[in-house]
Amino acid sequence: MLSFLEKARKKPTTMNRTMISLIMAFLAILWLVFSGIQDASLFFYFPTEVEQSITSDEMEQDARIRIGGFVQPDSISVEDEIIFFVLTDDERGVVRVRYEGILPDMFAEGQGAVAEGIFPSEVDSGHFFADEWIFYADDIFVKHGEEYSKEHLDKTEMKKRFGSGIPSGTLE
Amino acid sequence: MIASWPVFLGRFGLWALCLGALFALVFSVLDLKSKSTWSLVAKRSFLTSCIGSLLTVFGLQYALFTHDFSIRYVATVSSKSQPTMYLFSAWWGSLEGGLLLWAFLICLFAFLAISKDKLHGSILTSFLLLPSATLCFFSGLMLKFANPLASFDDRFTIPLDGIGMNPLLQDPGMAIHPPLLYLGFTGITIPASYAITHLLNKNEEWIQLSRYWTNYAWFFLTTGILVGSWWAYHELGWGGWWFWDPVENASLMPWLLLTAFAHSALAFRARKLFNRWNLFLILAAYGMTLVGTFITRSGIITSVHAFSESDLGYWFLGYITVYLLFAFGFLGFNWDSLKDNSNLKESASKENAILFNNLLFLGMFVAVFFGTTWPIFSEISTGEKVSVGAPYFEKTIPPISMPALILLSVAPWLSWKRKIGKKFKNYLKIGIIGGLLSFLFFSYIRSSIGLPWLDSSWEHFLTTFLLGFTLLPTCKEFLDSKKGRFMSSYHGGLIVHVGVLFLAIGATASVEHKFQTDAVLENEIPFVVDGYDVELIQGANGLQVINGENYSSFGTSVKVSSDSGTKILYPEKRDYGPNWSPTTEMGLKSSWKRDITLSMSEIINDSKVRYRVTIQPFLKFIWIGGIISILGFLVIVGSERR
Repeated sequence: MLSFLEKARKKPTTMNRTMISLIMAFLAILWLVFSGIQDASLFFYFPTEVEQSITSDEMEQDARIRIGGFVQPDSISVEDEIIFFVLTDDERGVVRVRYEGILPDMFAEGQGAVAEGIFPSEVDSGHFFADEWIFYADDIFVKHGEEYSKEHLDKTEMKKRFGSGIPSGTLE
Repeated sequence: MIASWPVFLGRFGLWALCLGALFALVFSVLDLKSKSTWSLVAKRSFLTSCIGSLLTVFGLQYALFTHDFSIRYVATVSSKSQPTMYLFSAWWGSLEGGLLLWAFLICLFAFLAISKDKLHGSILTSFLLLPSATLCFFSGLMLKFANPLASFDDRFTIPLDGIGMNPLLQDPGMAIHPPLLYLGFTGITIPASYAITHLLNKNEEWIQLSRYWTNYAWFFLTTGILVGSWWAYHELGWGGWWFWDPVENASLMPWLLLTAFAHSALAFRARKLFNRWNLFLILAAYGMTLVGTFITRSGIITSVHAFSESDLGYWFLGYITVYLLFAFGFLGFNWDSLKDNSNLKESASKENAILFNNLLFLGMFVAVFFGTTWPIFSEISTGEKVSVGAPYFEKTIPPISMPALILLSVAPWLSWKRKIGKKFKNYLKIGIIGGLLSFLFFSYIRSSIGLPWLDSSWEHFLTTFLLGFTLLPTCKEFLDSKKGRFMSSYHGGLIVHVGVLFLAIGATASVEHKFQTDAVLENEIPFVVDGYDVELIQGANGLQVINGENYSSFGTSVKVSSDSGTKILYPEKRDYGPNWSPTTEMGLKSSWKRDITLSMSEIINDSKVRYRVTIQPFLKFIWIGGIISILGFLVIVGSERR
């Protein structure tokens, strides 16, 4: 590498100039990628982990995060166009989620879902849940690749039907 | 319970597929190692494998069409009421069948390549290494984890009717999208195999042979990605067409490398440049088809723990590692003997443009690769799970793709070796006129649909300029070319470039100016939005219920009128029975200027329905650009018949 640069300095041929500009451009792209990833990645938790970090006082308020799990059966309720439901996981951790807006099609009880939002530090105190940790979601996904949902649907639904030996997810 | 004879034959075929591929691999290695020739034995073993794959496919299709629910896979992906077309496409409705399709297509491609290119001797055996190893791996997976013809262990659990295919997949677009992608993925196996023949046997012809098959793989992969995107827009129903989902990225990663290869192979053909780089690119592209499948199939994206629950992930990881070691080991050992002409004479030459094209495509690949796999690295290294969403990609991809678009619109006019010529300067002048015209044209259209004249993202301004900047010189090139000469691959490439610019205009505008709102429509009270009159016209009579072949649909008619006419839309929900949640079929009114879509989200009462309304300008340009590109690809594929 160094010898190459040495040669390039002595003899600035077209090839060398090209190579140097290519390397510079590639470094710029790498910088773009890594700075972008630092800024744009969100922490992702399962409900059990959320419970753990709340009890150990590590959960940051007002930080954007994603929580993924499946929707607990009989937990969806609607009040004044605000939707409440509970996300849970295999280890039975639970998170109460509050969401305003349109839910995606595949969203249903027992189905996998990912909620994006925050645990706000200031909650409307007039509300009945003021002292509880409620996740304010502004985006709900049921991934169309179904890596979140289908597996769980299969496990619960298919076990009932077929016993063990569950076929895996749907091909996209 | 005794399985029917075609199912038996299919199971036998699966073993033949696996053993045939294993023998083909073993004898190919023997042939390359020893002096005595085993190439004929290897070839015949491979043919056995091909016949085996045919038998398995036959067995599976027979079981699907006769509703043999004693086969677990059939009971999972089909049901008695499923339309015939989707019985056939249930073949690739889930993992087991997907693996079978992959194996079948590798057999098909490799068989066609062997017979068309008349491979024999040591070239044949070195060619066979990669396809037969891949077949061994896939058929092994099927036999061990995911046998499409396995029956239920216990005959009392055999259901009377199957669960049926996921209703989201019961759509013509989704029926052809997976096989197109698989054709692209497996098509990459052939040029990668030719790269290996070059590494092992100094097959100097490899790049010509590779290019021919690359064109097909490229064509199928591109079409597959576009159809998938079209499906997402029409079927997922919420106005998006690309979600930067790991599943989508998995198909984009090999595509980016393949596109880089298709360009750098041009430089090799013309000037014997970048020999090692070409080998690297195509071997990496094949590797990425495996990595992409691994990422989406093993569940590793959701969590590293989900991955470790099934052995499938480890097998994939193992095979990928073995492949990378061998492929790049061969490349490393031969590094010094792979001479290429690395003499670039002129900076503004076509070969230099191709170098920068490759850099940008590699950059986009790196961006997509790290964006997709970052959650894995993060969880392994720090134990913290992170999620990388669309904002990351929307931030990093434009700074790399926009220079690529600029390059795309000037590079075709450059010449090999030489300095910038008269033609280039001439085309630049015509181009600037064309670019300004198209820029003004699109600005005017934007203002005519109520968007501000000069307020948009720089990406959108750039793409609207580049369209005219490329289109006018391209037209001149076509007019100047001699009769019957404009069906060359060069001209095909020019058509693809124009298509890409159309697509870029649609992509930038629809992201930048997407307008989405939730609207409650009441009976006979028009809702006015952005020059559209939206009116519910059937709410008073209650919802309409229509029975489809295997679903019941409920919805109401909505009248949408604008300056481009009036259309009655019928947004509906479809109910596919107790196994599935209902799906949304959106209503779409599309003109070339903009699209409006209505998706029914909630029925409040008989005369009040809530819709999500999405308006996106120039969205149709994505599909127009896609079709132009596909036509260009057809010209390329057609012109390179050897």
